[in-house]
Amino acid sequence: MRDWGGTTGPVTLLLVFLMSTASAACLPPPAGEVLLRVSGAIGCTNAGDEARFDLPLLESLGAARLVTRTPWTEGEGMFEGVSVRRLLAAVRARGGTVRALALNDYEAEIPVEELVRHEVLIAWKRDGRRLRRRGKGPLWIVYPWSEHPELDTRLVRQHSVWQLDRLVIR
Amino acid sequence: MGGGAARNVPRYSRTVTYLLLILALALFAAGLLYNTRRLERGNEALLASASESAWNVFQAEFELQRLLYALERYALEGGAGTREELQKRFDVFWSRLPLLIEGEGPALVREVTRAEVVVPDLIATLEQLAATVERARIDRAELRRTREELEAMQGPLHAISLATLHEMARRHTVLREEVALLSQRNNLSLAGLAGSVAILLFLLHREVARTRFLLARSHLQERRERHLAHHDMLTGLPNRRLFEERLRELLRRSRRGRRIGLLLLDLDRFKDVNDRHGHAVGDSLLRAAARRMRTCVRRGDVLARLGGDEFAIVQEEAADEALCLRLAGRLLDAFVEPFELEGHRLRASLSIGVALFPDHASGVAELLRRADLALYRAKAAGRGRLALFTVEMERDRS
Repeated sequence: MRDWGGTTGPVTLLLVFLMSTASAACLPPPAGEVLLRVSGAIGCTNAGDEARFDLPLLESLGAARLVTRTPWTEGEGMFEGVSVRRLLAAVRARGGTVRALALNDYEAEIPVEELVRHEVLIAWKRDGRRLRRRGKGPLWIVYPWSEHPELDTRLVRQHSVWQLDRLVIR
Repeated sequence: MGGGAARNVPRYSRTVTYLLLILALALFAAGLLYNTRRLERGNEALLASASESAWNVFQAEFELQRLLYALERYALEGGAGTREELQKRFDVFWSRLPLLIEGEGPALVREVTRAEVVVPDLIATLEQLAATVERARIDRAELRRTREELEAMQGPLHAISLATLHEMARRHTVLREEVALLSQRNNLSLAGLAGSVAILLFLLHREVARTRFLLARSHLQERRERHLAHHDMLTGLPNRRLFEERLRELLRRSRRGRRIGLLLLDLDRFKDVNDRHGHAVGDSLLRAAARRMRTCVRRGDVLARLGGDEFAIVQEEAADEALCLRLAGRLLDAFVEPFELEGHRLRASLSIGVALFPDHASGVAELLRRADLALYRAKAAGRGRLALFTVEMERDRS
């Protein structure tokens, strides 16, 4: 890209145009407050080399529901969000590992295989109410603990990142 | 029923018992190991929850520092970026506080600190400050008040942090001591088990020895009983049963051209000895007579007491009747000498009847009967004699 920086030929303009339409076609830019930024080995971006999501964009990927208890809350809750699998497909992720970073700079390395196999959710609602930043929101990686009690391990707990801010695919 | 079989039985059961003992030892050791592992795993879980607690406390303190820093930047720079950052840090700090007192993880913090009292107060303060922080513009007085309130939280949070760290260190020590105590107890248990095994082995050895002794004794007893069933108690000679058994066997096994001689012997006037001197002397005479007879027979001859004063000899190697008669003659000679018995001097002659197989009979019963017939003739002829069976004897009888 840098090599073409000096040229202003019609071919270059055409290429830039085609690339931008290709990007626009796979993911529109976010209009509202950005909740999640995805970067790394992805084939679809909408802001520089990142894919940024506001809530309507996340919802457009296909909202899913998951009823489960969690190691940190009492009783079961009904979580709404998007499955990590769908999100990764939307950004055309190519890597095998997801680095999840939180607002408090906590981070966890999660194998894509684990996220896909258990249909893990990136949730923004619990029992119909938005997850607040003062709690575990705005986004929380939630595992199906009720359905698979064997997932209640130290490692998986560490993977269940709350106040999720960024994903880096590797 | 040889000695080998007698030893084999206990050896087999001993092997099984050894195996069982080894198995018991292995099971016990495995149990100890399992217990130790379980305690260690339990300790790990306990330490994990403790470190999670410590992590949460540390995070709360850290986020408070970051919030104060964001507040400082907003006060210095202002602008939308710093205000958003301030609000974000405010929310994140807030989110850390309930973690100190809710759920299973922070049990340790709740137990050893005043977090349960302090944290709700801190959250209440945050609720009051929220309205200010969310405002688009915060004036200086409000900023100062907010900072003072937040800075006042540092002390209590730090107290919780220190108490948590102390408790963690204490638990580490306690757990280490517990593990040491357990391993000490395990060693004692193993020593006890080794002792028990030693005692069991000793008992086992004793039992094996006893069993072997009992088996040997019963073996001996069996042999003695068998001997008694086949021998005459008074003289120790084979009895009629064994004698006839032997005779039958010899006749069956006898080869063509070989003869078997049968001598029936009778002490003359034995009844008189008994009547005159008593049964004790009679018994002594029988024993002495048996001894003399024994000196006359050769190895391979069978000498037996058939009952009363009746004796018999089977001469297996009787090549001809001459040999047989020579033995009879030797016997007669041997009884010429009187017996010295318990102060009595007794004269006791023999009468002998002889029959030969297969010359005089084809079976045991016939041979016995014909020898008996010859003996009868010898007695009739005046005692102290021998008689060889002849066909005439049979004719005269009939």
